[in-house]
Amino acid sequence: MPMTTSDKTIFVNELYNIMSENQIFMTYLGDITPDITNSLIKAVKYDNSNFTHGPAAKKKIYKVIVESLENVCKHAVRLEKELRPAIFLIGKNEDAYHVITGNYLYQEEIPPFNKLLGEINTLSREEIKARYNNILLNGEISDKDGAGLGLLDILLKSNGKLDYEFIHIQDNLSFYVLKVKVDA
Amino acid sequence: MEALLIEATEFTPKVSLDPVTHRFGISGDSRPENAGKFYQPLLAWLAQYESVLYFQKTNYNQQQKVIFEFRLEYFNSISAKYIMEILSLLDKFFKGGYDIQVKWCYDSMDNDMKESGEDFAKLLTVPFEFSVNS
Repeated sequence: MPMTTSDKTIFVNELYNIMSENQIFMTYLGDITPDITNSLIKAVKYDNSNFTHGPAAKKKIYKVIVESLENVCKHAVRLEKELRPAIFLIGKNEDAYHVITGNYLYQEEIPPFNKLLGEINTLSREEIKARYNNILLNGEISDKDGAGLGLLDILLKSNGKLDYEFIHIQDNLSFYVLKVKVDA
Repeated sequence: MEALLIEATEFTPKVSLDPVTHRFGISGDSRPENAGKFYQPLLAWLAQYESVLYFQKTNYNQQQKVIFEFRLEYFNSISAKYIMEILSLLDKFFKGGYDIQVKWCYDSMDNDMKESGEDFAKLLTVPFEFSVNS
């Protein structure tokens, strides 16, 4: 049954409470195109009320947000006939920011991608840097304007491990969720 | 050879490659929508510039000092790859006997940008001078 205006008002109120309690201060649900990526990044750039941990922390989180959104923009499945929106949200608590993205991927892309994520998640900071430098010196740029540096950059800024999940939706599609914690 | 001058936009840096003054610079934010399209002309220009250096050295026995200044506030990971390509070309010129220097500028509070420059410098032979923006 469709929501009535009154239902929607209550829902907005609930959503407001959920977002406030969890300090989720930015969300987007939809197709993350290059223009939308630019708009979201601009919103982050000019937002001084929610980034309250000083310019160095802001810059670190900004980098993670840019790389996360660019990854979704480049790799998310876009179906012409059926909308397959991606989700992006930023939240924070006292000592860390959380950047979460979720987008559809074709099932066939998942085994190699899952392998890569598992591999880089076991590396030490020095090993990540060595891998990053090796791509800088010897890596090739793909036709999607990628070199494989984005995820390594995210790992270096997050000072930890990537928290990710693939949720199988239907035969050829899975929903990929990436949660990145950045210490403030 | 003509100068290559590009004005900055919200997500692309200002570029100034001037073959008369031999002062080169790139400054601002680098997050182009299509990094290849933005950086390929710079790489092509620099590759061509090598012949200017060669001409001056062989015909006039002049050793031209070239300073390439990076004053970036932010660059995304694909830009890092292209910055490395620019630096690799400068490194090649330096190894070829030309007087090349990289000047890496950063804000005093921006340790990340300083560290990025140091990381690039470690991978190359061309001399780097580090400078805090005033």
